[in-house]
Amino acid sequence: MTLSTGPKIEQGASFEPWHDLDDDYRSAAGRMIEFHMMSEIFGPVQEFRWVPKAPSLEAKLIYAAKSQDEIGHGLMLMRVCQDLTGKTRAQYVEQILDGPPRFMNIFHYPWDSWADPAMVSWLIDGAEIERQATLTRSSYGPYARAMRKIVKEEGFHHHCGRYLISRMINAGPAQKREVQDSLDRWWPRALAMFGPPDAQSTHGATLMSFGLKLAGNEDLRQSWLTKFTPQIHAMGLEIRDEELGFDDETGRWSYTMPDWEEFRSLLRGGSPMGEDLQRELRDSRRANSWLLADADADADAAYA
Amino acid sequence: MRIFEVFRQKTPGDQFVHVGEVEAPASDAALLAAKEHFARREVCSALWVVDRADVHAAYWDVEVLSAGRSKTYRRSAGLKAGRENILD
Ligand SMILES: [Fe+2]
Ligand SMILES: [Fe+2]
Repeated sequence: MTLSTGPKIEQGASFEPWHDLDDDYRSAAGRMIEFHMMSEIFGPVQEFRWVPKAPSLEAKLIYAAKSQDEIGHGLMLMRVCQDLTGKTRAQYVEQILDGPPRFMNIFHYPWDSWADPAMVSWLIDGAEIERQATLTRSSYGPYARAMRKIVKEEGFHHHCGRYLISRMINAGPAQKREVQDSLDRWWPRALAMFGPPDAQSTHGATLMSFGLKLAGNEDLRQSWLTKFTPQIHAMGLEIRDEELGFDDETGRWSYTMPDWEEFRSLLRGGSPMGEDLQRELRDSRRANSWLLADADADADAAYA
Repeated sequence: MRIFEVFRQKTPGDQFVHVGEVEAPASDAALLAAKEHFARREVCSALWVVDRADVHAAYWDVEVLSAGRSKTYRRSAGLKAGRENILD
């Protein structure tokens, strides 16, 4: 494709990979989308482990479909990254298998019972919708387009999480206690997922000025709180956050500040879970290498 | 590996719409990947994959591509014109 200059960075501008993009823009977009791609790839590695442990055939089908969607998100974003950065798929696979396991805070925590995968689907995929819905208007065209498909599927994930949680709550008091216990652990992690308040995030300001990021961390967290606080209460669960409250005058929620030190250290790539997931990816790559070799040989023969 | 652009038709008779791309060693593998990616959840009646190398893009600017943007003459007054005459 021919290189063309493309529009200037301004409100509402839309860029394509063949535009003559500013170096700063290209590297900021690359960093942001690579991080998103890594999260979509590493998340389902943990999810796959819970497919065989699902409590019913229906739950198993739902959860298998959800985790397959996530891998699809990862692959779509890998394509977006390739055109943006010029790295090949092989280079990205190497980065995933051997590079620092950098992805969302959520996937660095171990999951203890079936309530955890269901809770993550409900709360975290729900939180992802908040952010990703704004990204369908991102200034980078291929990312915005990918996001339109992804957001639709995140809606399904959120609904199935809500359904799986309600099934568990209605199964009996012991199961309901497990759900409450899971909520207690995931509440601060879900709040943290949006990132520190915007004044503390210099990176965020750059991304906003490029139109790569459309809403601030705090605004997204606030709108998630508005949607989820009543949802959680309607489920008969208790939010054990003593600071939680809504100020009618300012229209803002207060909540217990997440531990930003823990958040930052996880994002820098440090967790035993991250290494564990990466080890599993390396093992499965090794186990599947015969299939990849066969497919390549087939293609070579067809085009010889 | 090659990159294939994916076009999906939702129901018979519809136009084929570009929905994304997949990377695959050959077109048959690309079709399988495209089916998994773009036809698993949403309805689909037909799929095409096109090697990106075979896609030819116009290099003209938007000013050239949508030249003569004012096309009011296409909105003919039609029925209204006749009615105005009657009202006079
Ligand atoms: Fe996803
Ligand atoms: Fe999801």
